Amino acid sequence: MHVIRVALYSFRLIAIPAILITLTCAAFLWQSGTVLFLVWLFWTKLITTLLLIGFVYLFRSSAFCFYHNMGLSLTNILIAMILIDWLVAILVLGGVATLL
Amino acid sequence: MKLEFDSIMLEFEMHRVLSAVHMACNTGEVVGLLGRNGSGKSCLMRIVFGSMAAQSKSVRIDGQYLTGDYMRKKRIAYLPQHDLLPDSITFATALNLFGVKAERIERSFPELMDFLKYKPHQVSGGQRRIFEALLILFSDHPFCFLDEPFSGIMPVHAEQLSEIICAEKSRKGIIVSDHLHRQVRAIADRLYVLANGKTYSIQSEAQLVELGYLLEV
Repeated sequence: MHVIRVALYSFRLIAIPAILITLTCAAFLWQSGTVLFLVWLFWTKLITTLLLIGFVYLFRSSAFCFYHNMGLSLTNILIAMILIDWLVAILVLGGVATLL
Repeated sequence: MKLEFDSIMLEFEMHRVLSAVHMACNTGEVVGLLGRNGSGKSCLMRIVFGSMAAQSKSVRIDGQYLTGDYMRKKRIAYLPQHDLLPDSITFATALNLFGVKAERIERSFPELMDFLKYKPHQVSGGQRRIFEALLILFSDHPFCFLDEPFSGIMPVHAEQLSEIICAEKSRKGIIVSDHLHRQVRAIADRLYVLANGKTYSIQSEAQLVELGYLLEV
């Protein structure tokens, strides 16, 4: 439980841009009016997630030390950030897709 | 408990930073690590902590090798020379995540209690540094690495922090590195200097001059 909590906090490193991208994707999906648009959004989200992770890895890696002290390795932090980002994206985009 | 590390090799392209390191730290002692700028002190700490890769390393606790992803075992806590706390969380959250009780902070530095609701960037650099050092010292990890814990801290607080380091060694082993060498030497039970990629156990001040760390005794 503690690890999950720490992982959630580590997501804050990319939370604002990641959620903004997800909401933008949701807005585009709503505008398009078709679930077929999800294919494009999947690739957009995948590429932006990798770019965000790459940015944090290259320029904000000093922030990882706090989480290392609580037992999360670099790999664990990156996996946690990707999983949480995608969980949020699936919930939001899935929700919008069901409304179409 | 005894933490030992040796056979650490670190090279950046053609530049060899660490080659013949051998250090040990027992529970109940403070070990000082001195060295000129760029001698590899921070790299050494990061390598042993597990956040930096090296060409080779051997880290043991009570003779048992620490291999793979040993950070999750939470044996070593590390205060980096840069900021430890992310700006996105409050001091109270950091305490909570580290499992440190606020009463411990209150007993040592009551003035810090007013800042618990703040985020790190909302307080002064010195206050932030003390808080970060206390977090590491009060954590449950049996060994602590403190990289420049006194930087930016006013003398009165540095003295208080020294006292806390000495008190905490009763339950853990602590390795301290700082350029305030008098402060480090005052609290250290043993002293090493890192020079030319090697660790030298220091017995006298004259050795510090020989190794180019001090100009004169």
